[in-house]
Amino acid sequence: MTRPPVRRLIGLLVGLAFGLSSVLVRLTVLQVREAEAYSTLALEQRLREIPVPATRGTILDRDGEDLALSLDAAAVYADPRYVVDPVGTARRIAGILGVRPRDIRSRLEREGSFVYLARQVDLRTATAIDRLGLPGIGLLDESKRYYPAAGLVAPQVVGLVGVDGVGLSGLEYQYEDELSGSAGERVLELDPRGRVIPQGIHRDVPPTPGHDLVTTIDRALQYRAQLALQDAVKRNRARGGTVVILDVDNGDVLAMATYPWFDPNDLSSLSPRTLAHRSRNRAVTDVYEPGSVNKVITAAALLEEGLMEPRETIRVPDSLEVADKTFSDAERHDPMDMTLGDIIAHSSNVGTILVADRLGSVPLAQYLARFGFGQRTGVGFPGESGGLVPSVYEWWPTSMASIPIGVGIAVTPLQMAAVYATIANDGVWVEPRLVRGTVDAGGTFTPAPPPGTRRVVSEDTSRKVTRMLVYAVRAGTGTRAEIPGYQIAGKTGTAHKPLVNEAGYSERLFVASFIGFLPASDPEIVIAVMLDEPRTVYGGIAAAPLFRSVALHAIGRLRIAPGEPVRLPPHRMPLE
Amino acid sequence: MSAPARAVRYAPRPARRPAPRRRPAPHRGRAAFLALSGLLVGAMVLGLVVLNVRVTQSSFRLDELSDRAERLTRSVEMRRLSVARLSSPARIAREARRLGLRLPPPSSVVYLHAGEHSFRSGPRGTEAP
Repeated sequence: MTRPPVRRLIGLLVGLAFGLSSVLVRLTVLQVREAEAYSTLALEQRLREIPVPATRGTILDRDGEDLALSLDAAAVYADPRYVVDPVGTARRIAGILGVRPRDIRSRLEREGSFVYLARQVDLRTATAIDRLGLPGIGLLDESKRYYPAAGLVAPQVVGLVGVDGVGLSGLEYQYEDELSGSAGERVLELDPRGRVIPQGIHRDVPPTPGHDLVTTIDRALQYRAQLALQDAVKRNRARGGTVVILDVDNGDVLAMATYPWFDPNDLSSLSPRTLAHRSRNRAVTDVYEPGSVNKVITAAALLEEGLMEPRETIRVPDSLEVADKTFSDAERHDPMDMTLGDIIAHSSNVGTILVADRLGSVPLAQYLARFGFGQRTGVGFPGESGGLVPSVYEWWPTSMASIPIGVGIAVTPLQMAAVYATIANDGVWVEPRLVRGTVDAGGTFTPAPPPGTRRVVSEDTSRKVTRMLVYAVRAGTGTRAEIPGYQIAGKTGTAHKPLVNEAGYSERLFVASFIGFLPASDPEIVIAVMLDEPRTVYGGIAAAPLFRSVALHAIGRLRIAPGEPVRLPPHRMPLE
Repeated sequence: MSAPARAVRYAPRPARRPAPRRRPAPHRGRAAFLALSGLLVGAMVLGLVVLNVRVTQSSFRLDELSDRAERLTRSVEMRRLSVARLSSPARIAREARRLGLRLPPPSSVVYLHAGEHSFRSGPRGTEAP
C-alpha cells in the first residue's frame, strides 16, 4: 500500500485555490470595478449616431413664390479598405451615377478610410446604389439646393450655396445664420449585423429648420426686367447691363437684374472665372461714373439753397474752359438762354457747370453725401460698394465742373436709383431693402426692421425737379422713354468709361443710362437702367427704350394707374 | 324495608367521538396549488411575451410610420419643387407663346385709381374715378 501523495495534493489544492482566486479577483475587477467602463464600451459599439441635417430655409419672393428651396439628397462615399472588387464596384456605381467608371475606380483605389464618390445625389439614385449592397459603399444624408426659375429670376441676388450647404454669395451668404438652422441627431442601437434593435436605445434630437427668407423681389417683374435687359444688351451689342426697380414708398427692391447671368442649377458648365464674372450683383457691388443722371443733384441743391429760380435764365455757350480742360455739350449750338429746366431736359453740361458754380464745392459735396454717395445704402447685400467720392479737400480744379455732370465720382446703380427715389418721395431718402422678413418653422412672420429714412430736400424742391424731369422725357433727351397715357419723369446719362490702369477716359467706350419714375404726379416706382459699352452710346437712344420696356411691364404687373397731369417747368426751348 | 333503590344506572353515553378529521389530500392540494401557480406564472410569462411582442411590433410599426412620414415629407418637397418649376414665369411665358397668346398692347389696358375711399367707405367712394 502506497502513501497518498499528500504533499502533491496539497500543492494541487493550493494551486487550484490560487488559480480560482485569480479568476475570482479578475472577475471582480471586470464585473465590479471596470464594469461600467466595459458596459459603456459595449454600448458605444452598438450605438450609431447619425447627424440629421437641418432643412435650409426657403428664399421666397414678395408673394411667397419659391426662389430657392432645399430637398433631401445623399452623398455617396466609400471606405476603400472594405471594397473587395474596385473594378466591378466602380462599373456598377458609375452606371447609376452616369459618370465614367474610371473616375470612380481611381477614388476606390485611394488609400484611406473615406472618400466621396458623389455629392448631392437625388434620393432615387441613392436608393438604387444602396440596394446594390456593395461592401465599403455608404450613403450620408445631405440636402441639395434647387432654384426653380433657373437663371431667369435674380440669380445674382439670391446667390449660391456650396456642396456643404453653406451660402457662398448673395442673400444665401448674407442670411446664412437665419437660413441654415441647426442640425439634429438620431441615435440607434444596432446588432452586429447593423440591424436596428427594436427595443434598444432609440433617441431622436430633431433638427431645427432654418427660417424662410421673404425677399422684396417680385418674381414676375424680375423675369420681365431680365428679358428686357437681355434684349437691350443684344440689340445694342453691349457688354452687359443692369436694371433696378424700387418701390418709392418703402424702398423695396422689386427687381434687380444684371446681365450676363447664370443658371445656379447648372454650374458645372461654367469656368470659375466665368462664374465669378456672372455671379456679381453689379447693381450693388460695382460702381460706374453716372454722367448726366447726376445733374438732378446739382439742380436739387440749387433749388433747395435758393440759388436759382426755375424761371431764371442764363446764357449757355456750347463749350466752356475750366482750369486746363474744355467741357462741351453733346451737340454744338450758339449761345442760348436756358432755364434750369432746359439745362436738365437737354442735358447741357456747360449749363450745369455754370449754375453749379453758384453752389460751391463744399455744399455740393454735402448734397452728394446727403443723397447717399460715398456710403453704402444698407440694402443688406454682401460686398456692397459705397461708391467712390473724393473728399472735397482732394478735389481738382476741374472737379467743380466734372462732378456736377457726374464725372469724377463713381456710384452703384442702386445708389443712383435711390437718388431718384428721393426726388420721387417728396425729398425723403428711404433705405433700399431686399428682405421683407423671415418666417420660422411655425409659420410666424417676423418683419425686417423698417427702412431708415432721412429728409434730403424739401417737398417743394422735389416737385420742381420732378417737373424738370417730366420735361426731359417730354421734350428733352429722354423722349424714347415716353409711354402714351403716362407722364414719366426721368433723365438720361452718358458717360465715358475710365481707362483701365491708366489716367483718362476711353473715347470709344461708354456707359448709357436712364433713370426715371412714374407716374410723375404720384410716383410709385423708380426704374434705373444701365447699359455697359453699348454700340449706340447715348443714354437717350440706348437706355431709354429699355426703361420704357421695363416700365410697360411694371405698369401691367403692378397695375399702375396714370396720374394727374404735371405742368412742365418754365422753359425757353421749344417743345418739339 | 324496602330495598334500596337501585340507582338507575345509565350506561354512560359513549363519548362523542370526534369526527374523523379529513385528512388533507396532500397530493390534490399541492397539485391545485402548483396548477394555480403554474397558471399564474404561465399567464404572466405569456403576458410578458405578448407585451414584448406588442412592444416589438409597435416599435417596428413606429419605424415604418416614421419612414412613411419621411417619404411623404420628401414627396411633398418634390411636389413643391414641381409646382415652383411649373409656375415659373419662364415656363408660363413659353406655354402662352405655344398657345398663341400675346401681351396686350400698352394702350389697350388702362388702370384706374380706386381713389382715396373705397366703395365700402360710404357714398363718397362712388365718386372716385
